[in-house]
Amino acid sequence: MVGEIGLPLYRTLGLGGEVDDAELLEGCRSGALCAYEALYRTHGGRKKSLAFHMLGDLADAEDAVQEAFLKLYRGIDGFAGNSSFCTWVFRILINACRDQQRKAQRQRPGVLPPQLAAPPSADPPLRVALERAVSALDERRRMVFVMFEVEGMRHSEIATVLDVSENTSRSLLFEARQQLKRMLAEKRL
Amino acid sequence: MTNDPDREISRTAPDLHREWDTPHLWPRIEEALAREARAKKRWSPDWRTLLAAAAVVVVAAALLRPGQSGPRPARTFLSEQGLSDAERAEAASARSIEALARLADPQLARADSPKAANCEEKLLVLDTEIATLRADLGQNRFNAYLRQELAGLYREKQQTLKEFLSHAQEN
Repeated sequence: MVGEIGLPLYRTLGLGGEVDDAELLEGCRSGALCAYEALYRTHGGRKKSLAFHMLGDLADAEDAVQEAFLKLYRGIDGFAGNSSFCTWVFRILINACRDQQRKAQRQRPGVLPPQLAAPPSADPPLRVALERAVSALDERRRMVFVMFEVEGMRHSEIATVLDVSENTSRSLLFEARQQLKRMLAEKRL
Repeated sequence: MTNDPDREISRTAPDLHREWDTPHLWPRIEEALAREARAKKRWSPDWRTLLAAAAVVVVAAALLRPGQSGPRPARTFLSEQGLSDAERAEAASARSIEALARLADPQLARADSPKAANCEEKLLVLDTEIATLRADLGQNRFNAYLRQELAGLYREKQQTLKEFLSHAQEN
Protein backbone atom coordinates (compact mmCIF):
# COMPACT_ATOMS: atom_id res chain seq x y z
CA MET A 1 0.00 0.00 0.00
CA VAL A 2 1.19 3.48 -0.72
CA GLY A 3 3.20 5.01 2.05
CA GLU A 4 3.63 1.86 4.05
CA ILE A 5 6.64 0.45 2.32
CA GLY A 6 9.66 2.38 3.42
CA LEU A 7 12.62 2.87 1.13
CA PRO A 8 15.04 4.94 3.21
CA LEU A 9 17.17 5.83 0.18
CA TYR A 10 14.38 7.96 -1.25
CA ARG A 11 13.61 9.56 2.06
CA THR A 12 17.13 10.92 2.44
CA LEU A 13 17.15 12.54 -0.98
CA GLY A 14 17.03 16.28 -1.21
CA LEU A 15 15.83 18.36 -4.13
CA GLY A 16 17.57 17.42 -7.34
CA GLY A 17 19.03 14.23 -5.87
CA GLU A 18 19.96 11.73 -8.51
CA VAL A 19 18.14 8.44 -8.32
CA ASP A 20 18.62 5.53 -10.63
CA ASP A 21 15.75 4.91 -13.07
CA ALA A 22 15.61 1.23 -12.14
CA GLU A 23 15.39 2.01 -8.43
CA LEU A 24 12.60 4.48 -9.03
CA LEU A 25 10.73 1.97 -11.16
CA GLU A 26 11.11 -0.73 -8.56
CA GLY A 27 9.93 1.61 -5.81
CA CYS A 28 6.96 2.85 -7.83
CA ARG A 29 6.00 -0.72 -8.74
CA SER A 30 5.99 -1.66 -5.06
CA GLY A 31 3.61 1.24 -4.43
CA ALA A 32 6.05 3.06 -2.17
CA LEU A 33 4.94 6.64 -1.82
CA CYS A 34 8.51 7.74 -1.13
CA ALA A 35 9.52 6.47 -4.59
CA TYR A 36 6.84 8.64 -6.18
CA GLU A 37 8.08 11.53 -4.08
CA ALA A 38 11.65 10.91 -5.28
CA LEU A 39 10.34 10.92 -8.84
CA TYR A 40 8.62 14.23 -8.15
CA ARG A 41 11.74 15.74 -6.60
CA THR A 42 13.94 14.52 -9.45
CA HIS A 43 11.78 15.36 -12.46
CA GLY A 44 9.01 17.59 -11.07
CA GLY A 45 10.66 20.83 -12.18
CA ARG A 46 11.04 19.73 -15.79
CA LYS A 47 7.58 18.22 -15.77
CA LYS A 48 6.00 21.44 -14.56
CA SER A 49 7.94 23.56 -17.05
CA LEU A 50 7.06 21.25 -19.93
CA ALA A 51 3.38 21.17 -18.94
CA PHE A 52 3.39 24.95 -18.65
CA HIS A 53 4.80 25.34 -22.17
CA MET A 54 2.20 22.93 -23.47
CA LEU A 55 -0.80 24.37 -21.63
CA GLY A 56 0.19 27.99 -21.08
CA ASP A 57 -1.32 28.09 -17.62
CA LEU A 58 0.22 27.43 -14.21
CA ALA A 59 -2.81 25.84 -12.59
CA ASP A 60 -3.44 23.61 -15.62
CA ALA A 61 0.23 22.59 -15.63
CA GLU A 62 0.04 21.58 -11.96
CA ASP A 63 -3.19 19.65 -12.57
CA ALA A 64 -1.55 17.83 -15.48
CA VAL A 65 1.46 16.88 -13.35
CA GLN A 66 -0.85 15.54 -10.65
CA GLU A 67 -2.90 13.60 -13.20
CA ALA A 68 0.29 12.18 -14.71
CA PHE A 69 1.25 10.76 -11.30
CA LEU A 70 -2.15 9.13 -10.96
CA LYS A 71 -1.94 7.66 -14.47
CA LEU A 72 1.52 6.40 -13.65
CA TYR A 73 0.30 4.77 -10.46
CA ARG A 74 -2.60 3.11 -12.28
CA GLY A 75 -0.52 1.94 -15.24
CA ILE A 76 2.77 1.01 -13.61
CA ASP A 77 2.06 -2.72 -13.75
CA GLY A 78 1.76 -2.52 -17.53
CA PHE A 79 5.16 -0.94 -18.01
CA ALA A 80 7.39 -3.58 -19.61
CA GLY A 81 10.58 -1.85 -18.52
CA ASN A 82 12.35 -2.28 -21.85
CA SER A 83 12.33 1.42 -22.62
CA SER A 84 13.48 4.13 -20.24
CA PHE A 85 11.19 4.61 -17.26
CA CYS A 86 11.93 8.32 -17.21
CA THR A 87 10.89 8.88 -20.83
CA TRP A 88 7.77 6.79 -20.27
CA VAL A 89 6.91 9.07 -17.36
CA PHE A 90 7.25 12.10 -19.66
CA ARG A 91 5.09 10.41 -22.26
CA ILE A 92 2.38 9.97 -19.65
CA LEU A 93 2.74 13.65 -18.79
CA ILE A 94 2.22 14.68 -22.41
CA ASN A 95 -0.95 12.58 -22.49
CA ALA A 96 -2.13 14.11 -19.24
CA CYS A 97 -1.57 17.55 -20.78
CA ARG A 98 -3.64 16.51 -23.79
CA ASP A 99 -6.42 15.37 -21.45
CA GLN A 100 -6.21 18.70 -19.70
CA GLN A 101 -6.54 20.53 -23.03
CA ARG A 102 -9.46 18.31 -23.95
CA LYS A 103 -11.24 18.95 -20.70
CA ALA A 104 -10.91 22.66 -21.11
CA GLN A 105 -11.73 22.35 -24.83
CA ARG A 106 -9.98 25.53 -25.49
CA GLN A 107 -7.44 26.73 -27.95
CA ARG A 108 -4.13 27.67 -26.50
CA PRO A 109 -3.64 31.44 -26.60
CA GLY A 110 -1.03 32.71 -29.03
CA VAL A 111 0.97 34.37 -26.27
CA LEU A 112 1.78 32.97 -22.85
CA PRO A 113 -0.14 34.80 -20.16
CA PRO A 114 2.12 36.86 -17.92
CA GLN A 115 1.64 34.73 -14.82
CA LEU A 116 5.25 34.31 -13.87
CA ALA A 117 8.00 36.72 -13.17
CA ALA A 118 10.50 36.39 -15.98
CA PRO A 119 13.54 34.34 -15.03
CA PRO A 120 16.89 36.12 -15.18
CA SER A 121 18.36 36.22 -18.65
CA ALA A 122 21.50 37.55 -20.32
CA ASP A 123 19.35 39.18 -22.99
CA PRO A 124 15.89 39.93 -21.55
CA PRO A 125 14.40 41.46 -24.76
CA LEU A 126 15.48 38.44 -26.78
CA ARG A 127 14.14 36.09 -24.10
CA VAL A 128 10.72 37.79 -24.21
CA ALA A 129 10.65 37.79 -28.02
CA LEU A 130 11.75 34.15 -28.13
CA GLU A 131 9.14 33.10 -25.58
CA ARG A 132 6.40 34.76 -27.63
CA ALA A 133 7.66 33.19 -30.82
CA VAL A 134 7.88 29.73 -29.20
CA SER A 135 4.32 30.00 -27.92
CA ALA A 136 3.18 30.75 -31.49
CA LEU A 137 4.68 27.52 -32.87
CA ASP A 138 2.37 24.60 -33.51
CA GLU A 139 2.26 22.07 -30.70
CA ARG A 140 4.62 19.43 -32.12
CA ARG A 141 7.35 21.86 -33.07
CA ARG A 142 6.91 23.75 -29.81
CA MET A 143 7.21 20.60 -27.72
CA VAL A 144 10.29 19.35 -29.56
CA PHE A 145 11.93 22.76 -29.25
CA VAL A 146 11.09 23.05 -25.54
CA MET A 147 12.22 19.51 -24.75
CA PHE A 148 15.49 19.85 -26.64
CA GLU A 149 16.55 23.45 -26.23
CA VAL A 150 14.87 24.41 -22.96
CA GLU A 151 14.81 21.18 -20.97
CA GLY A 152 17.93 19.61 -22.47
CA MET A 153 16.42 16.29 -23.50
CA ARG A 154 18.06 14.14 -26.19
CA HIS A 155 16.42 13.35 -29.52
CA SER A 156 16.22 9.68 -28.54
CA GLU A 157 14.23 10.65 -25.43
CA ILE A 158 12.01 13.11 -27.29
CA ALA A 159 11.30 10.47 -29.93
CA THR A 160 10.06 8.06 -27.25
CA VAL A 161 8.03 10.68 -25.42
CA LEU A 162 6.28 11.92 -28.56
CA ASP A 163 6.21 8.52 -30.23
CA VAL A 164 8.01 9.71 -33.36
CA SER A 165 11.31 8.67 -34.91
CA GLU A 166 14.53 10.42 -33.98
CA ASN A 167 14.71 11.79 -37.51
CA THR A 168 11.26 13.29 -37.15
CA SER A 169 12.34 14.86 -33.88
CA ARG A 170 15.38 16.38 -35.63
CA SER A 171 13.25 17.64 -38.53
CA LEU A 172 10.72 19.19 -36.21
CA LEU A 173 13.49 20.95 -34.30
CA PHE A 174 14.98 22.23 -37.55
CA GLU A 175 11.60 23.52 -38.70
CA ALA A 176 10.94 25.11 -35.32
CA ARG A 177 14.27 26.93 -35.48
CA GLN A 178 13.63 28.15 -39.02
CA GLN A 179 10.22 29.46 -38.00
CA LEU A 180 11.60 31.09 -34.87
CA LYS A 181 14.37 32.79 -36.82
CA ARG A 182 11.80 34.15 -39.30
CA MET A 183 9.53 35.38 -36.51
CA LEU A 184 12.37 37.00 -34.59
CA ALA A 185 13.72 38.65 -37.74
CA GLU A 186 10.27 40.04 -38.59
CA LYS A 187 10.06 41.47 -35.10
CA ARG A 188 13.32 43.30 -35.62
CA LEU A 189 12.27 44.90 -38.92
CA MET B 1 19.76 39.07 -33.18
CA THR B 2 23.41 38.77 -34.01
CA ASN B 3 24.93 37.31 -37.16
CA ASP B 4 24.38 33.86 -35.75
CA PRO B 5 20.70 33.62 -34.85
CA ASP B 6 20.91 29.85 -34.28
CA ARG B 7 23.46 30.39 -31.57
CA GLU B 8 21.43 33.20 -30.04
CA ILE B 9 18.36 31.02 -29.90
CA SER B 10 20.25 28.13 -28.31
CA ARG B 11 21.89 30.46 -25.81
CA THR B 12 18.61 32.09 -24.77
CA ALA B 13 16.32 29.04 -24.93
CA PRO B 14 17.32 27.56 -21.53
CA ASP B 15 16.08 30.82 -19.96
CA LEU B 16 12.57 29.78 -20.99
CA HIS B 17 12.64 26.99 -18.40
CA ARG B 18 10.02 27.93 -15.82
CA GLU B 19 10.40 27.30 -12.13
CA TRP B 20 7.81 28.29 -9.62
CA ASP B 21 7.18 27.34 -6.04
CA THR B 22 4.52 24.74 -5.54
CA PRO B 23 4.69 23.74 -1.88
CA HIS B 24 1.08 22.55 -2.16
CA LEU B 25 1.57 20.31 -5.20
CA TRP B 26 3.36 17.30 -3.73
CA PRO B 27 0.98 17.09 -0.72
CA ARG B 28 -1.90 17.20 -3.23
CA ILE B 29 -0.39 14.42 -5.34
CA GLU B 30 0.44 12.41 -2.21
CA GLU B 31 -3.14 12.65 -1.02
CA ALA B 32 -4.50 11.66 -4.44
CA LEU B 33 -2.17 8.65 -4.60
CA ALA B 34 -3.10 7.57 -1.11
CA ARG B 35 -6.80 7.87 -1.99
CA GLU B 36 -6.21 5.81 -5.10
CA ALA B 37 -4.39 3.16 -3.07
CA ARG B 38 -7.19 3.01 -0.47
CA ALA B 39 -9.80 2.65 -3.21
CA LYS B 40 -7.79 -0.10 -4.86
CA LYS B 41 -7.49 -1.95 -1.59
CA ARG B 42 -11.12 -1.49 -0.65
CA TRP B 43 -12.53 -2.60 -3.99
CA SER B 44 -10.65 -5.37 -5.69
CA PRO B 45 -13.30 -7.61 -7.26
CA ASP B 46 -12.49 -10.80 -9.11
CA TRP B 47 -13.20 -11.18 -12.82
CA ARG B 48 -16.68 -12.63 -12.23
CA THR B 49 -17.77 -9.53 -10.35
CA LEU B 50 -16.31 -7.31 -13.06
CA LEU B 51 -18.07 -9.31 -15.74
CA ALA B 52 -21.38 -9.04 -13.88
CA ALA B 53 -20.90 -5.30 -13.42
CA ALA B 54 -20.12 -4.86 -17.12
CA ALA B 55 -23.24 -6.83 -18.03
CA VAL B 56 -25.36 -4.60 -15.79
CA VAL B 57 -23.93 -1.50 -17.44
CA VAL B 58 -24.57 -2.84 -20.94
CA VAL B 59 -28.16 -3.82 -20.10
CA ALA B 60 -28.82 -0.50 -18.39
CA ALA B 61 -27.44 1.40 -21.37
CA ALA B 62 -29.60 -0.63 -23.76
CA LEU B 63 -32.71 0.01 -21.65
CA LEU B 64 -32.11 3.69 -21.21
CA ARG B 65 -31.16 4.55 -24.77
CA PRO B 66 -34.64 4.70 -26.41
CA GLY B 67 -36.03 7.12 -23.87
CA GLN B 68 -32.98 9.26 -23.59
CA SER B 69 -33.30 12.84 -24.62
CA GLY B 70 -29.92 14.47 -24.68
CA PRO B 71 -29.20 18.16 -24.85
CA ARG B 72 -30.44 19.96 -27.93
CA PRO B 73 -27.93 19.89 -30.72
CA ALA B 74 -25.83 23.00 -30.83
CA ARG B 75 -22.91 23.89 -33.03
CA THR B 76 -20.46 21.77 -31.01
CA PHE B 77 -22.93 18.97 -30.32
CA LEU B 78 -24.04 16.14 -32.54
CA SER B 79 -27.57 15.71 -33.81
CA GLU B 80 -29.41 12.46 -32.98
CA GLN B 81 -28.57 11.22 -36.45
CA GLY B 82 -24.93 12.32 -36.07
CA LEU B 83 -24.67 10.54 -32.74
CA SER B 84 -26.12 7.38 -34.16
CA ASP B 85 -23.65 7.50 -37.11
CA ALA B 86 -20.75 8.17 -34.76
CA GLU B 87 -21.72 5.29 -32.47
CA ARG B 88 -22.01 2.94 -35.45
CA ALA B 89 -18.56 4.00 -36.67
CA GLU B 90 -17.12 3.57 -33.16
CA ALA B 91 -18.64 0.10 -32.88
CA ALA B 92 -17.09 -0.82 -36.25
CA SER B 93 -13.71 0.51 -35.12
CA ALA B 94 -13.97 -1.40 -31.85
CA ARG B 95 -14.75 -4.63 -33.74
CA SER B 96 -11.82 -4.10 -36.08
CA ILE B 97 -9.51 -3.38 -33.13
CA GLU B 98 -10.76 -6.49 -31.37
CA ALA B 99 -9.96 -8.60 -34.45
CA LEU B 100 -6.50 -7.06 -34.76
CA ALA B 101 -5.86 -7.47 -31.02
CA ARG B 102 -6.81 -11.17 -31.24
CA LEU B 103 -4.00 -11.58 -33.79
CA ALA B 104 -1.51 -9.32 -32.07
CA ASP B 105 -1.96 -10.26 -28.40
CA PRO B 106 -0.39 -13.74 -28.52
CA GLN B 107 2.53 -12.38 -30.56
CA LEU B 108 2.96 -9.47 -28.18
CA ALA B 109 3.01 -11.85 -25.25
CA ARG B 110 5.73 -13.94 -26.91
CA ALA B 111 7.84 -11.14 -28.38
CA ASP B 112 10.66 -9.61 -26.39
CA SER B 113 11.91 -7.05 -28.92
CA PRO B 114 12.10 -3.34 -28.09
CA LYS B 115 9.52 -2.75 -30.85
CA ALA B 116 7.06 -5.09 -29.12
CA ALA B 117 7.73 -3.49 -25.74
CA ASN B 118 7.22 -0.06 -27.20
CA CYS B 119 4.02 -1.18 -28.88
CA GLU B 120 2.73 -2.70 -25.65
CA GLU B 121 3.41 0.49 -23.73
CA LYS B 122 1.80 2.61 -26.40
CA LEU B 123 -1.29 0.39 -26.36
CA LEU B 124 -1.45 0.72 -22.60
CA VAL B 125 -1.38 4.50 -22.82
CA LEU B 126 -3.96 4.47 -25.63
CA ASP B 127 -6.26 2.18 -23.63
CA THR B 128 -6.06 4.50 -20.65
CA GLU B 129 -6.84 7.46 -22.88
CA ILE B 130 -9.73 5.65 -24.53
CA ALA B 131 -11.17 4.66 -21.14
CA THR B 132 -10.92 8.26 -19.90
CA LEU B 133 -12.59 9.62 -23.02
CA ARG B 134 -15.34 7.03 -22.90
CA ALA B 135 -16.01 7.97 -19.30
CA ASP B 136 -16.20 11.65 -20.33
CA LEU B 137 -18.53 10.72 -23.16
CA GLY B 138 -20.73 8.87 -20.71
CA GLN B 139 -21.50 12.28 -19.23
CA ASN B 140 -21.86 14.02 -22.56
CA ARG B 141 -22.73 11.66 -25.41
CA PHE B 142 -23.44 14.41 -27.92
CA ASN B 143 -20.13 16.19 -27.59
CA ALA B 144 -18.74 16.28 -31.12
CA TYR B 145 -15.24 17.20 -30.01
CA LEU B 146 -14.91 14.23 -27.65
CA ARG B 147 -16.33 11.89 -30.31
CA GLN B 148 -13.76 13.16 -32.77
CA GLU B 149 -10.98 12.64 -30.23
CA LEU B 150 -12.18 9.11 -29.53
CA ALA B 151 -12.27 8.32 -33.25
CA GLY B 152 -8.68 9.59 -33.47
CA LEU B 153 -7.57 7.33 -30.62
CA TYR B 154 -9.29 4.33 -32.19
CA ARG B 155 -7.50 5.09 -35.47
CA GLU B 156 -4.18 5.34 -33.65
CA LYS B 157 -4.77 2.05 -31.87
CA GLN B 158 -5.71 0.34 -35.15
CA GLN B 159 -2.61 1.76 -36.79
CA THR B 160 -0.38 0.67 -33.89
CA LEU B 161 -1.72 -2.88 -34.03
CA LYS B 162 -1.38 -3.02 -37.82
CA GLU B 163 2.18 -1.75 -37.67
CA PHE B 164 3.08 -4.31 -35.04
CA LEU B 165 1.51 -7.14 -37.02
CA SER B 166 3.29 -6.16 -40.23
CA HIS B 167 6.55 -5.84 -38.30
CA ALA B 168 5.98 -9.29 -36.77
CA GLN B 169 5.31 -10.75 -40.23
CA GLU B 170 8.48 -9.24 -41.64
CA ASN B 171 10.49 -10.87 -38.88
